[in-house]
Amino acid sequence: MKFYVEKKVIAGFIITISILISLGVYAHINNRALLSASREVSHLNDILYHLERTLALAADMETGARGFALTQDPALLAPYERGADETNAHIAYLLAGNGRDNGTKRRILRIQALLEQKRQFSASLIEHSATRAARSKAVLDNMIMDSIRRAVTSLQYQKTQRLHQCKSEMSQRIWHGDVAFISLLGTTVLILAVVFSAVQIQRAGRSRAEERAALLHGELEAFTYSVSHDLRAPLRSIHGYSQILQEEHGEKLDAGGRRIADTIMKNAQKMGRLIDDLLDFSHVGRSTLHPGKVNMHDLVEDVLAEVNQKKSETLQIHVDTLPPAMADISLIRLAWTNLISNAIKYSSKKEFPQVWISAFETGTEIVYSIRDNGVGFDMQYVHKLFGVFQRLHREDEFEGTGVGLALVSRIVARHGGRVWAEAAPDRGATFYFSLPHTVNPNDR
Amino acid sequence: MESSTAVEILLVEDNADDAELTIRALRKHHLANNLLHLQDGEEALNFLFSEKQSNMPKLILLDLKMPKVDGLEVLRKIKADQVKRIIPVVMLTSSKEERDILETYKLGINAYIVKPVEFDKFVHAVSEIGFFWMILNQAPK
Repeated sequence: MKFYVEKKVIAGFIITISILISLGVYAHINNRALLSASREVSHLNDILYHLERTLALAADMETGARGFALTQDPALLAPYERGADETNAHIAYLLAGNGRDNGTKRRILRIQALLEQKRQFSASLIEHSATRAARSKAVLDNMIMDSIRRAVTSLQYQKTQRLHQCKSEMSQRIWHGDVAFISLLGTTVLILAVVFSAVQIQRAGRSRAEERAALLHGELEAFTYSVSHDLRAPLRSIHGYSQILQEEHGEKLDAGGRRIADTIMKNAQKMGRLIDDLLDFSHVGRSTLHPGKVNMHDLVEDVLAEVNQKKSETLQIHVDTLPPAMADISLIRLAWTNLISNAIKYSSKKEFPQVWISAFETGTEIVYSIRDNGVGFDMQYVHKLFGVFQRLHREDEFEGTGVGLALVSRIVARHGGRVWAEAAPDRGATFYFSLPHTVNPNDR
Repeated sequence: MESSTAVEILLVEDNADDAELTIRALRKHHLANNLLHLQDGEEALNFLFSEKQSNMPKLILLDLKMPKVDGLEVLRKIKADQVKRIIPVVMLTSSKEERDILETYKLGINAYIVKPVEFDKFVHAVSEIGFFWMILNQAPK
């Protein structure tokens, strides 16, 4: 299901990204086309202007030359000369600007040739203005002028057509650009909306899960609270009344009756310890870790003094120098209490029970160990050692609830460390636990 | 009700068995002569805050979890009262929960004792409380 959802998400991303890229590329191409169309429009406008000017100047040239021929007024030579010069300049400009466009170039060259003819004709008109023959050539002059006008207007017409085309292309490109831009904007808004709603949905789901977890946690709290309070009260009555029965009515009981009262008390006692151990176990899982620098040596000596009150006279305990560690002191104390009690308990049947406590450091962690010369256990059951209610010895051999090592394992795990053991039957056991140099509280 | 001025220890406990065991433990050490047992918080509040303001036991042994008005509520009322707040109140409960301990201390509890399951330990604990508060401790007159 998750994989399916992920595939859908990836497909969605690929599709939207391709849409965005193609829209972007299209907008870019469109923009380039728009730019080149606008350049062409200005180029065409340029051509049209120069053609217009050329025609006007040719007309000035003609008027100047004819006027001079008629009036011999030198002032009229000025427009002729300016026309002759400037038409040249305009034509040169047009030729330079259309070098690559062969059709246009040919037409311009034709206009240039006609203008040259016109100039020569006008020059001869000015020179021989007095002669009749010159005047009679006016008809020819008109023809040349007509040719020029036709050539120019024809080119003007063609360029005007092209100008219209370019302008309509430009407005089309502008419209396309607008459409691409709006689509880009729309797609982006759509993606943002989809992502936003997905995030919202996910967040809602997460907070629902958190609510459920909090509810479950609350129920667990209520459960352990109830175990703590309500289960102990009847046990106290069972134990108390059995003892009162023995103490105050003992003389009315025979040996069998007293034994039964004794058994009831022992069991009530045992169940009380079981409840306490389970509460400790649950407490270790729920409480927050408060790590600090722990003087492990002092702590172990402290626990030894507390646990060792009922020690046998032959018991020897050797404690090496123990390096300090970062840990939650109350939890680590609980772990040591269990490990030390175990070592004393399981070696208690030896003639000379011995316990060794030591430590060594590696680059990343400190490993503490506790060894005894007690009954040990078969390594094939080592996997059961740290489970809750798992015991490797019978109740009548060694008493216990089967919670101690599970508690140790849980405490060490919460500090980010490991716990393990080595043993052989009747040759003692060694328990190791490691604590990392830097505390890495593990909430599992 | 007994003569109210004579009440030295007020035991507020809803569990009749626990109450009997507590009284037995105190009696063993002759500490239960002027003891009054009330069965819930409401009775305790009525006793302490009745029209007779002279009900001033020397010690209150209070259970935490009780029907109607619980131990916390009784404690809150006692410690909020200008006169009664000086009465030592000892919580005698089955609960080892940290939040209960913290809450009662915030309200000004004088001691918090978890009732042991084993009877001899229970007797020991209760008689220690009795000795300490009734004999060893010097209370304001």
